[in-house]
Amino acid sequence: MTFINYASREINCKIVYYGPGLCGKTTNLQYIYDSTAPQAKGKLISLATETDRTLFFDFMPLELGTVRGFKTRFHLYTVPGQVYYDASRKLILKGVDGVVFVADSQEERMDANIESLYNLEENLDTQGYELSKLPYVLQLNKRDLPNVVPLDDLTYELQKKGEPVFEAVATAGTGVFDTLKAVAKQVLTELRKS
Amino acid sequence: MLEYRHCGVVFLIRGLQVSRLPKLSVYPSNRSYHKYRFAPREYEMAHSPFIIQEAQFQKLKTVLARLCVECAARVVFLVDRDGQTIAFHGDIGDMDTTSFSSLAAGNVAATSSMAKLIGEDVFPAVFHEGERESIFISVIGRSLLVVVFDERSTLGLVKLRTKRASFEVADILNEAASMSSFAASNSVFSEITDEDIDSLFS
Repeated sequence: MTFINYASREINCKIVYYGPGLCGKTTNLQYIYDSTAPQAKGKLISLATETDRTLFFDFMPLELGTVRGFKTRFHLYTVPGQVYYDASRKLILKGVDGVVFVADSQEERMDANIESLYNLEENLDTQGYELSKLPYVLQLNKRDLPNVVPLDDLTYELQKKGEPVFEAVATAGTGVFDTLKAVAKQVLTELRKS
Repeated sequence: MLEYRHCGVVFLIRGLQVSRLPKLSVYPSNRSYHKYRFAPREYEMAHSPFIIQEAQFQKLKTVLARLCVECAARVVFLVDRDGQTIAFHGDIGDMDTTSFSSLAAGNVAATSSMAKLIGEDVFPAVFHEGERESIFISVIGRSLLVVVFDERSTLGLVKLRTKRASFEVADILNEAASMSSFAASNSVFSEITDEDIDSLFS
């Protein structure tokens, strides 16, 4: 839900990082948090298990700058990737403005990617959204590992609507900001249309 | 943009959906209050814009200020159920209000889902008791009235005062809803250019 505050001249948008368990959603947020100036970010909230697996969500507000005199703040959320946290995933998609699907490029995680993507479409539908009409970016993470699926094959399997695709190594920050910029641009472009 | 400066403060909240409350001399029970007056309309919610003009914003601030005094609360928030702060009044100190609103919304989302699992439609109120500070959250359709209070107040007082304020907040949001389509058609954001967007990332 894009929220525009004319009093404080702020635009607030919600972006959700979605994907299978251990694909690197939290690592994306952690890298953004670590690489951003203190004045541009709020706290990184992690509702995680004792073993650092996301239990409910990770959250951080990020200020990108001003457009037409309005401060643009993106609220970045991750969902828990593990299959049995589906109820939590549905809740976090409420009011979403843009989605980043983080895919795990490893061969053995291909089924998990496809299942998670299907789950995303299903949960968006539950919330009254269609993936085809939502700002959306595909990130192919863990490209530095030896057992990855070739780029073309992975894109062929996972790309849904001609959305931008980025190769990434979230632990090193490769592709992290490119992904964020791409989805943020789409969200602001949608705002103009609406 | 100038036109909006003349109009004053405006909020655009996409997705708030609150049914109009009847003028009742006796408040309905919590269950009927939420089940019938504020039944969520999930599909519409995801697509319809909601705008609050200066007048409604000031009215909301007035209600929150009064509630804060009446409850002897530390701070009172009005939060969208998606986690955005709409307005607040009171002593926030160094509290991270953005995170607070996000977590309050997550909290209510989780407890609402738990309610459904045990056959309840919704938990209209959520209470967390701390050693010094406590939090009372009242669900008003698509928004949450959150009261943070300490030992100077009591749960009973907070519940009583919050209930009355909830009706007033709902009325104000309804008033804003009736004016939202005009404000949406005049939004300054229809004039955003590609260059404006690109400049954010330069």
